[in-house]
Amino acid sequence: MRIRTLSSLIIGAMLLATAVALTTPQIASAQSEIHLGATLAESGPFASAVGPFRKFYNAWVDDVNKQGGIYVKSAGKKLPLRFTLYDDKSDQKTSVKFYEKLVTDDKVDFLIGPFSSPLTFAASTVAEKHKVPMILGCANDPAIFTRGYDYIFATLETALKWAEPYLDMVKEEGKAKTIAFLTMDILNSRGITAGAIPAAEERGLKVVANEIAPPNATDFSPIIAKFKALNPDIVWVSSFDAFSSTFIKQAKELDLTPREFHVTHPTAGFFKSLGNDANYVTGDVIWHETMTFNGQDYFKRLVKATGLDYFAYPWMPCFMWTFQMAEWAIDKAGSLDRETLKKVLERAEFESISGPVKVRTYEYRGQKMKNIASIPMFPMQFVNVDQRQVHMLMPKQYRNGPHIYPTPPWRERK
Amino acid sequence: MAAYLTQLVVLGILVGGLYALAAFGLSVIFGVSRVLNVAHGDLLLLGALLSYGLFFGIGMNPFVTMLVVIPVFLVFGFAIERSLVRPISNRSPHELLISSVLLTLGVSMVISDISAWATGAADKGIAYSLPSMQIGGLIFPSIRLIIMGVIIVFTLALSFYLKNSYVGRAMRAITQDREGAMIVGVNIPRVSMITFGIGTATAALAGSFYIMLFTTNPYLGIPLTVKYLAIIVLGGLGSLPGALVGGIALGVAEQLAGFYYGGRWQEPVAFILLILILLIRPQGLFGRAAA
Repeated sequence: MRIRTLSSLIIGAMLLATAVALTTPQIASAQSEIHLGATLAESGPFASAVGPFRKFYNAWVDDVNKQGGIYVKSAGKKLPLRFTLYDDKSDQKTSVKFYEKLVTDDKVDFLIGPFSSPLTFAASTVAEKHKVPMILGCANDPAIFTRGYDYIFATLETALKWAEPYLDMVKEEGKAKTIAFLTMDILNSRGITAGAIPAAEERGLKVVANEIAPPNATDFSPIIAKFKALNPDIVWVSSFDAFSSTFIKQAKELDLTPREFHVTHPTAGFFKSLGNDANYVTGDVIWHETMTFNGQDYFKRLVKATGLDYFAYPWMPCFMWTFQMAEWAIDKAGSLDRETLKKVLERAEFESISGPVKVRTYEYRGQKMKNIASIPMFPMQFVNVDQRQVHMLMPKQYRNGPHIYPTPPWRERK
Repeated sequence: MAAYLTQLVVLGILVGGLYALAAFGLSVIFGVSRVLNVAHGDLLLLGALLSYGLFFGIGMNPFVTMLVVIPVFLVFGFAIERSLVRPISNRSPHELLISSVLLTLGVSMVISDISAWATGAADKGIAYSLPSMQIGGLIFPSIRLIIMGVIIVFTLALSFYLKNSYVGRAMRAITQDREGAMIVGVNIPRVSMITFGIGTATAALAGSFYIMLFTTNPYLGIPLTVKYLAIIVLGGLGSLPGALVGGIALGVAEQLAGFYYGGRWQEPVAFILLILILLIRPQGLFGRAAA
């Protein structure tokens, strides 16, 4: 009888322990390290924007670990940081595959999103499926956030508001009256234009054209012919590098001379393809060296460690925001428990190198976006590409030179 | 409106010339060797990368780079034929076609991956421009005009070579009747090798021009090959005049489709045009009907 009772007790305890183990959320790294993961477009079309950024991730990890790691309250000490990074080849399917691996195989604590809205749209499904928090840097198309996902957290403001700082400047100056849009048929670019068109109209601009072309478009002659007939003051191009640089090159060939060209993602590929033909083009960036928000020295230290040229890779700041958000979240959560991190990130509010990040859910232009954040775009203008001279235009406290408008016609430039 | 349409036709002809140049090589290779070179677009890409490297590396004028590109890729084409194509050349026509597609698909993947690894995967373009000419309200982009001029000279030279040289006559003989050419003593493997060299050099030359006008990346090969395949089928397999007319027809059709229906229709118009022509004339514009 006693043996039977003892056996029953032992079996019962074993069953109870098993039940507890199966139902308790796993702390993947068993609190000996902080293990994060992401994919990166080291090849493919987005590589011109972010291809070498493995160096940036490595610089962050090295810098954190030189200081002993990040303090995790539940561990009672600093834990070293480990980062697993895969090349998604700028491809949605590849990105999804590797995020699945990061979660199921590598068992990371939480995730950092890939570069670009198209890849994030796909990869975020993995985070949601497995209930793993994912911090997003360079991704803000409304389509990502209108799905109501609980486990993704932006740092950027919605793409619907992308154009507003530039258009506010245009309105204030009161010179431009008409605008034509050319959009690359891809997430983020479509989202930008969807917000830019009503924003332009609200600010008194007449939208004379709204053309869309596939991402692999190479010949813009028909669109340029249409724009020439309409003679807009501003030609706005929502796209990535190859698309916009090819368009501007052909615009010069065919003598399309609006008073201004504006492109949304001017990076190394853009001005290397165009050289001084990129002069006077306005664009949008996410940081400027005159900013005084939290983390400037930290960011500059990491950039220096990578050996990368910031002028060629202006999307480094959005990766920096994800590093800052990750560190902030771990500090606030006090643990690596995913549900705790999720609750903390839902109410995230901290100062990044580009300004305040506040995660919130709100509706804008009829689209309800969950866990979108707040960093806006900062319009700039290339003044002399050869001399790397750029004027920051907005907000005014960062302006370091005049907005040159109208642009000199092609035939009058040297 | 008439002025804009005329402008679009002019631009279509100019860009069609570039398409035709690239398609020539594919047509010539298929006509003589019966090899469907799926890596043709990748050879264009390699020519573009060599021009890019010469321009940024030593400051060579992009037009001058073709003097390097042509001989380099002539020899490269010889090497491809000798090492990869010749071992499969004795197969039956059906087997040769399938084998050549698989073989050159593999070559395409290798070129794509090696160029991504060696030169980076980012898009590349050459920052080179010339002032455009304006004549009577029409704009003639200078770079495209020069390219068209080079294409015309190259085409005339190639036509002269095909008509008057032994190799050229042998190439035409093989295209018309392979067995007959063998009987009269034509050295088919040697002629195939030269043809592959010419086809490869033509593609690479087109690449030198392509990177002046557009941007390239390592993954451009297959989509371009598909477009040039559509052109040579449209013009008639193995026909050089057909490739020229097909290229120009496509260039003009793309311009008009883009103007009237929007940018999304420029790419599909190649295949819509191909379907329409093949329904009316299955052998293509300049091809010979099957007996």
